[in-house]
Amino acid sequence: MALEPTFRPATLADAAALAVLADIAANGLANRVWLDQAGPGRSALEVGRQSVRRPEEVDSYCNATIAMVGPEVAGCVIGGLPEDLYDVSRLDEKADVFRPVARLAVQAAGTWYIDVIASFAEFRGYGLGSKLLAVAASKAEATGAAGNSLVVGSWNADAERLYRRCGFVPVAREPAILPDAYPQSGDWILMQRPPT
Amino acid sequence: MTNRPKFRPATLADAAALSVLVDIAGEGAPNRLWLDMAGPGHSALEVGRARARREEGGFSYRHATLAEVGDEIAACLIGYRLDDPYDLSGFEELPDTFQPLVRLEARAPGTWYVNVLATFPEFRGQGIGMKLLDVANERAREADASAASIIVGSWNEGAEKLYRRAGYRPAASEPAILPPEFPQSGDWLLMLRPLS
Repeated sequence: MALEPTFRPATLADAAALAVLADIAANGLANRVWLDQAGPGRSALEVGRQSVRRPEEVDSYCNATIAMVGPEVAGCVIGGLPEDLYDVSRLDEKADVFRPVARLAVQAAGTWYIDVIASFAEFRGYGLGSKLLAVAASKAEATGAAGNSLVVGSWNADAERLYRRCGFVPVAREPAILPDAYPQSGDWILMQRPPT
Repeated sequence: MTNRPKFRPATLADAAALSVLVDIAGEGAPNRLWLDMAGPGHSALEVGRARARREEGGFSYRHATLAEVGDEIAACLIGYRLDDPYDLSGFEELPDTFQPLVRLEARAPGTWYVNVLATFPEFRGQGIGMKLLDVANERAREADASAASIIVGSWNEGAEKLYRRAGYRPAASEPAILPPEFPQSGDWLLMLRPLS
């Protein structure tokens, strides 16, 4: 079965769905950062939703394209030029777990960088990922960027395979610093592909 | 107030927003439960969204009414009639933090229980909570419940005041068992509101 998704820019009303998708893409690391920001006895999900609603955040709804299937949000791609998304002089202020990712992202200046690409469980296995990658390619074209870039964890073999199939090649890596309890370990890999 | 809220039953497409509202109402306790269920390296937010998509259970979208302002979800009410008699079997297997809450629910069999009442930050202070409490009373009458019921933490004075203004009165209390690092402490109060 193939899905016939339609794509549209995200709005403020999508913030909760985008927060969940950002956390899915990051293997739960986004939630960890929001938990620290919220503090005990307060809602990290509220913090995540608020973060997505701010235009200046990397994961802002302003940088997001939504894939709709029927009346439902099925997935999203969030990104932009690394030099617009990240203030290179302030990478040290990033949460520990995301600092190596940010360091890799800024090496891909001039490309349209994919910060989040994710779909909800019900919509996986229907080729939505490669369609979202095609959206990223058209974003690169529309902004005059030199192709796309993204960062994937070396433990995420399925995702890496999809990216290779879609033309991405590894160009740099950084050791991943993950919470102690995490079963994952390895490197963050920066991948790039030329304009399609 | 600029914009009147509209009320509608929730659908599957609202699950992400519901999971954030559930975590807000539960002061971050739901996220902790979902973190345990997801396990390290997986997204607790994905688990929370999946819980809201279930057809059964305390957080099911089927028990939810949404308040919308413009094109945005502003708040939600999740509630249902408690069984009469209330079945306490399996009580000991519940996480400690939930035991006092269930013990209080057992004191209100046959009432329409407001399990979640929450408003996103941008929409607070507009009287939406009070309107949703009136919706709760309508639902309670439709369900032939004996009263409406709600449980509030004694540290949550703003909420308790709102419930009193709506006609709720304290009926029972239990000492709250919260994670040690939570700044909150005190009792859970069961409050009841007559239907006429």
